[in-house]
Amino acid sequence: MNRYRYRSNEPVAQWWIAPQRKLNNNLSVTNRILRLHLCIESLFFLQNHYFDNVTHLVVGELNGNFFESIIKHVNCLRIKYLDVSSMKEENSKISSLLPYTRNITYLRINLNQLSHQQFAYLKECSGIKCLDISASQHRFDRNNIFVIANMFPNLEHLIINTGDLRDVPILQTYLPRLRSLTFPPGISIFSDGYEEKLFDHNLREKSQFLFQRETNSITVWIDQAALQDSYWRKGKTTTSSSSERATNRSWLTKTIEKLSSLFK
Amino acid sequence: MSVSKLESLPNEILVDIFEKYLNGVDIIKAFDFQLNRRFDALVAQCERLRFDFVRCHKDDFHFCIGLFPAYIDKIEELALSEQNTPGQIHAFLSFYPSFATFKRLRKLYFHVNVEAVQPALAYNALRSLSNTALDTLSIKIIKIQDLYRSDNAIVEIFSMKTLKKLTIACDGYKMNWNVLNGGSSNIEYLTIRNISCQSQDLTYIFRCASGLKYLDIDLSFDTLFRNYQSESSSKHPLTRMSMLHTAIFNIYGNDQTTHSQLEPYFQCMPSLHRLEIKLYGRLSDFSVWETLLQTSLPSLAYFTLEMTTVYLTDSNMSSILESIQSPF
Repeated sequence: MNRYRYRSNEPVAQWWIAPQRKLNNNLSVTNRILRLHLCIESLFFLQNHYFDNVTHLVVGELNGNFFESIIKHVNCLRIKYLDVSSMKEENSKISSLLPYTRNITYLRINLNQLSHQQFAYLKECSGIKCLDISASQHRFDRNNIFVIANMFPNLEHLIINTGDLRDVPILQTYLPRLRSLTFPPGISIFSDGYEEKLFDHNLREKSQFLFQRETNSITVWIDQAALQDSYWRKGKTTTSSSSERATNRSWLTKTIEKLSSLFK
Repeated sequence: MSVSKLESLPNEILVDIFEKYLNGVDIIKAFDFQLNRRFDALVAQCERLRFDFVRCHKDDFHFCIGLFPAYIDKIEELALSEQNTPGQIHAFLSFYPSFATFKRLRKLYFHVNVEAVQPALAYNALRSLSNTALDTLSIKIIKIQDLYRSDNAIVEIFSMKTLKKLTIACDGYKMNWNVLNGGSSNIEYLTIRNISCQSQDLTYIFRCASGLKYLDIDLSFDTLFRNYQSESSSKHPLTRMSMLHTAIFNIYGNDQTTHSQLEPYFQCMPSLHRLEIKLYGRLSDFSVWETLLQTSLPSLAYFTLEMTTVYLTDSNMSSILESIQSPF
């Protein structure tokens, strides 16, 4: 029984299992929990349990002790879905967690959290089929695509958060296995059903590809024709702020330099 | 030790691998008229194939669909979905509007968004299912309310003679379950998700599918319907579910008499071996559940209760935990 959350994105803060059946190491093992959302406050309840069958793990924050607790109390090899996008810590903490979760197929991470430190690991971990970098807005230009393609060569599904879609067609060159692309619609809230239908109608007018629109995203099934659609050339839906652009640029320059040195 | 190559395996094993373990999409893409005559002959020799198009590459989908006529009588399993692949169902149904074309089809996973296809196309495809010999059907229908006579489409699925396992999910559809009244179903394993079902609707489901062995269903318990339920129950006596061994009830609503409303249904389940209850509303006194299970379900061996604690204070939380720690 867990303290049920009022919002779906809140981490678990309290935990009980009744009746408790403990093993020799005094840990109570459960294989019924498939999804966990952890933060620093979760550290206390982790102490007495071992989560053997977690396939979805969302990590909020990570300090030294917490990282060790996750390794000790969660069977990381079963994890298929890992979300570290709300972690505020520096890249090295994420880098230390990633090698333990080597069977992940879905990674949700901020673009600026990807670093050269993870390159070696991610290159080996070719099982990642879906990358979600939509937690915060980012640039999506040739250089970013180059970095992503090098880290995730087998990517099949990509979820981005950018208003500038002009470089989407080059995905065909860098990510030939890509099957779907999800991007924001450029409108945060539709006031009513009519506005939604009008948006869909206008998008159909502007593009040739079929799409699936959810509340905050549009998904396109990718093929050569979809990537060559004229929509992408005029597809600037929103504009990122100048500070964001500057941050992205400095991160990108550093990462490309590091990647280049690794190739040498 | 030398490394064995796929080509060094005998024909019988390769055919076995193709038939039982590989996705038809991969077989066509990798081998069929791509490698050599031996492999072409082996693919042609296969008697059954399965095609899984879920999240597949668009080029692979169109490539396979183009070659489908050559394999149509061999396809035993088919998975089609619009999840991350918008337009897949419309494209498929444009080529194959009826599933009756697939004579050997036994398993189907079909995830359709009615908004994204022509409703008539989706309706005809659903109706064509009754002309197949499917034994397992997993179907997810988004915006089913856009379909003309959507309840009838579901009734026809329930009435399929060969169907043993059915999973049906919608996006919060309000179904009128009494349309099942008078129908008959051979379904043994039934899962229903996100289709509104009041406790009294179980009467119709039990009467229609009396041979159920496994039931996993979302149930709403609302005080507004309680009186209606007692009237309805008196009109329609409950069917005895002597085969039912596993029941999973996902219970929504805050009606404190949930346990007593379920009691007559429990009494119709003499062989129930495993019961899982997931409560998404308020928990009434746990001891009443204990009594209910002891008096109504003599064969019960496994019981799981999951509940939300949104409505609990820390003090009554500890008292509930204490009561659950009992040896019962």
